Amino acid sequence: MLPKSWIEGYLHFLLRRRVLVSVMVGIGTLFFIWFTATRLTIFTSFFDLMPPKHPYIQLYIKYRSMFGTANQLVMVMETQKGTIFDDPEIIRKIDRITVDLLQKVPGVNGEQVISITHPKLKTTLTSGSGIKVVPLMYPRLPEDKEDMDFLRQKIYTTEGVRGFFVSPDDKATLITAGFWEEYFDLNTMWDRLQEIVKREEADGKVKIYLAGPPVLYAYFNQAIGKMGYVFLATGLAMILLLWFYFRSVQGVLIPVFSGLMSAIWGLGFAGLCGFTLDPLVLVVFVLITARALSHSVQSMERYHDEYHAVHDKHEAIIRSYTALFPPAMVSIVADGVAILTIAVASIPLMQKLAFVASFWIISIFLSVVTLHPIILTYVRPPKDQPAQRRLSDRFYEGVSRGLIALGQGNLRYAVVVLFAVTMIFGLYFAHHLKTGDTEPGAALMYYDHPYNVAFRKLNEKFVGVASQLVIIAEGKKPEAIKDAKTLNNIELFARHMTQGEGANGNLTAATLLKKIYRTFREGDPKWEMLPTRDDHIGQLFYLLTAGTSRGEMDRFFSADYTNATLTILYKDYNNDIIHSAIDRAKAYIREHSSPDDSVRYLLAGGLLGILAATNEEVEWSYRVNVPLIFFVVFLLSFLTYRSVVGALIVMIPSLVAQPLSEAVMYLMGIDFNINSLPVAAVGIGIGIDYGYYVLSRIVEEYEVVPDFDEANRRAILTTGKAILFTGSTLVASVVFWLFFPLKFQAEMAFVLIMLMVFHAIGALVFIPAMVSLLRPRFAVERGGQRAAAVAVQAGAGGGAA
Amino acid sequence: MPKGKFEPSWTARWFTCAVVAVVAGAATAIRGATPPLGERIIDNLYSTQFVSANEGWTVGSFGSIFHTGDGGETWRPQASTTYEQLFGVSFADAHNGWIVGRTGLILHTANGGEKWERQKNTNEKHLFSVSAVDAQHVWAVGDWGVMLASSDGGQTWQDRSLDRDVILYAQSWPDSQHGWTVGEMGTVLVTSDGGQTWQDQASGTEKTLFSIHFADLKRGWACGLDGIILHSEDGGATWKAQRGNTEVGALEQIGVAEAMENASLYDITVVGNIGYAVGDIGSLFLSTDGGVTWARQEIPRDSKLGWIRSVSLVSGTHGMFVGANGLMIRIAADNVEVSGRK
Repeated sequence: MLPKSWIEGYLHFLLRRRVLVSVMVGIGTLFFIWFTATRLTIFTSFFDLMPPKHPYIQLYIKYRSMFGTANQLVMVMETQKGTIFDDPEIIRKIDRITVDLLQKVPGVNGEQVISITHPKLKTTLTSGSGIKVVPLMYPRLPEDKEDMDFLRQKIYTTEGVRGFFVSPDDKATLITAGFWEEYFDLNTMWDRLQEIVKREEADGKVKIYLAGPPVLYAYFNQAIGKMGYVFLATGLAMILLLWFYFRSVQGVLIPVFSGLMSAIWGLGFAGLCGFTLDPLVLVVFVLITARALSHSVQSMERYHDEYHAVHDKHEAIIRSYTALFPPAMVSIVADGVAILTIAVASIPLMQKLAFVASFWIISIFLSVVTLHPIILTYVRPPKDQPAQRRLSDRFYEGVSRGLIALGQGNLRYAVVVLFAVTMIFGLYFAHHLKTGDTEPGAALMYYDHPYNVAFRKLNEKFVGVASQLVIIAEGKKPEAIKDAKTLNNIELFARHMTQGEGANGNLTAATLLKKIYRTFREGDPKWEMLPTRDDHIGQLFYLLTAGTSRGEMDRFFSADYTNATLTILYKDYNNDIIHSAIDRAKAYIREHSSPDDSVRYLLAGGLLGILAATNEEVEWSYRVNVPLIFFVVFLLSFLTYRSVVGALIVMIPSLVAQPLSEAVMYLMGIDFNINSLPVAAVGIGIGIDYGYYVLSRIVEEYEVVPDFDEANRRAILTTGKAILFTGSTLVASVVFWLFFPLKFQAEMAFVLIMLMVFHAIGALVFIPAMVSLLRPRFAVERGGQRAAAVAVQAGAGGGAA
Repeated sequence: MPKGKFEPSWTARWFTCAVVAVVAGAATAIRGATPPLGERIIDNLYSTQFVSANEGWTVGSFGSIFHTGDGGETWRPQASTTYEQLFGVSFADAHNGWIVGRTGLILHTANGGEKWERQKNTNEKHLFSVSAVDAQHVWAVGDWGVMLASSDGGQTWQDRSLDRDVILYAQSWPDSQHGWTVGEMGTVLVTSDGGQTWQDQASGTEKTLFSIHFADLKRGWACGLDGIILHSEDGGATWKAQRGNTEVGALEQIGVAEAMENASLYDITVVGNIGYAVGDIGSLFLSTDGGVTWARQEIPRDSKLGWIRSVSLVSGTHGMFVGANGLMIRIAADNVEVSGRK
């Protein structure tokens, strides 16, 4: 790595020009403060969870009007006793809610409010004399049993009402409202909805469930409000840890300063790039801040050691930072590059995280490695401490005796076997890990959260309202779908999809045209077919659109009759069903498309299409990302040690920890999801440091005492403590997220903690035994090369207490 | 090769691979050819006919044909080689059957549906009903007054279409000489010479009739729009309404509730003392006195939404209703109860 003379030259420069450097860094910091203050926005966009370059998402964006608004409130009202047709009060409740949605909730798009009491839901009455179209509530809101029976009959006989707005068991009804994005007022909406729910549930007759993106946003906002507590707890824990470690104000303030400065640089960088910072991934940033703290602590610890040895501030600074520079660089670069690899996932949330987090980590080079030497020249040198035994020392001495034994004699073999078994165990179960939970509600909230309860109720009562797969039939020429053959083909395709697993029905332009055709043939179901002649198709389209307002038919076909949708309704879905539905569609298109067709079929919209895209992207990214991180880390390790064996030994903790944490996820029923992407990168990036510490210290000690057993013993006694402190700082920084009300953060924190603990264990248990058995040549060779020792000697910087 | 150590030759390895491939391929092919039993039936079903208590067929949209050999307990799809809607099925016996459908489609089987073959018909009008009087004599009727007849088991079909535009929905043939057909605007036509000539009968209504059934040469029933059931005791010379109003009234006069109560009836049959009439909104009427009086029956809740388009009854005790979205309801033995079937 870097020659010692360069490093010393740099440090001398820093100390000589400390004012200039401080001012420069200060200006940079002000610059980033300004960007943080003016340009940084903290906001969650669920669109950021989707890969915008994926063809399905591009299709969704292109044909957004045909897929219906995404910002839709869905309200399920379920009776506590009997059916909705038993009590006129239930219908009055529906009517009150409908009117309130239209009049009292801001931002509601009046065109997109639908319920069984809204006049928009109409029924067609057929008799010998002809056809009459009336609202479902015709002639009035029901008042007695006779009215209720009549209403039931109308609902039973109207296509598209039962199953969609009234559940098949008659116990629940659906009310939906779309929102204008530009007039949307989340807080007022939420307050009004709470009032409505409270008012209508008061008599105990009904239970109301709220779902849909607006509600998800509202719950999400509520939870975000509680983030302050997590930050407070984390901050206090950090300060306490620092106090216990240094027992001085200085020892607390300097690391906190570094952490804050890096945070400002990171946040400012996000502002500079115009990224919105997503509260969903704040866990990672908190962890990086902890990372800055631990770097700071290690360097100060080393400085204190050197100062106690030489009693000269300037000399102590040069000595300690010369030793620290190389491992700190390797560690920071490894962290930074590892996290940058997340950018391979073309999911905006992940890409923004990758760039911001990477910059944030690299900034530690300034906030700690560059600024600390300068700061230390200004502050008083540490007092001579009485040789007090800290709590952590006593605890660690006990543990270390056991660890040392593991790296010697025959126990070494047992450790190697344990390594192999753990890895095989990990790989075996990790292999079963399934993708899941990409549906926003399930990914964000706990299973029992009211949102997920409501979403499940919606899926249980109303087939396919929430879970649809939409396929676009894109016309190759104008009016492409005004053609009997094309409509027939669309219908056949939709029917083929409906026969697939989990599917329960479909809706296409053909469905609507057939209903009209039937109605005009005295309602005989045999006439529920498409006419054979194109001009008859044209007439039916005319009849269909004549009574509707503009845009009402967009969900089925475009106003110029060029494009159409195939909506497949699913009664249940999971990753397997989504996969099989997409495969089924692809196979059908492959087998049935010909160049003469007037439309081409494009996949896929609807909830299932979006989930399929996200799943595909997350799966792909993870499979690419993890090997990429391993490759990057291997490369850096190889450059550090100039040895393949050395690089592999350093990676031992990661090689065990990664599969093992995947296995634990599988066994605990945590699905693999978008969360897993940054966690692996952050976990391996940080975990690999433990490997550096342990291996570097062993090599360093081996140079002094050319005996691996003794070198192991000394390394564990010194470096082990550094790992213990670093580990506990990092765990403390994320542990409070476990209690955060959003599952997304809690799960992410849990897996991160698991990874970091496994890494620490892996480094302390496996590396000494492996070194002892393999006796790596690079270490033996270096035994004589004292000159090269500088870099490695410092490897145990933090633990040299 | 050392003794006792199994070392397969390359030929043996290739042979094994080939066998595995063939078996796997065959298994896949078989699986593809015959969908597993109990496959979900989701298509609209338009017609059903049972030739015995156990054996029956039902047909519907997208060319779907299903056969049962256990009274409707389980159904197995038969290959129709078409995606057209199939509107009518009729078997002369357990082997010879016909299916008609959209755009003049006629399918025939001589082996109980093992194989269905298309029969030549140049008239492309939709055919809504087929009636196999015996293995030789078959009649099909449909849109635009189309009437097709075959007297050679469908080898050739003669076009006997009416010279007027009336949709014919159903027919009934108590024997090969006597037949009735009904359709739009209360149309009832009768023949007593095996279809050589057809005469109009006065149904007494202008409402469309969707079904007709003659138990013998005298006693017949017809049903149709607004839930009317007509009955004749004299071979169709006079018709009397058993339920519903024969007068066409404006919706405002009838009242919406009444209109809903009297949903269209699409099929009617009487065997012995038992009669069924089925229709829209899950309408189901039962007669236990040989078609003299009719009483509304409740059907399983899940089926309420859909229409029932066809009923087939064998000796009054076994049979089937079929309808919307694969709706199938078995008529259970003896006690004439209906039970839903998923």
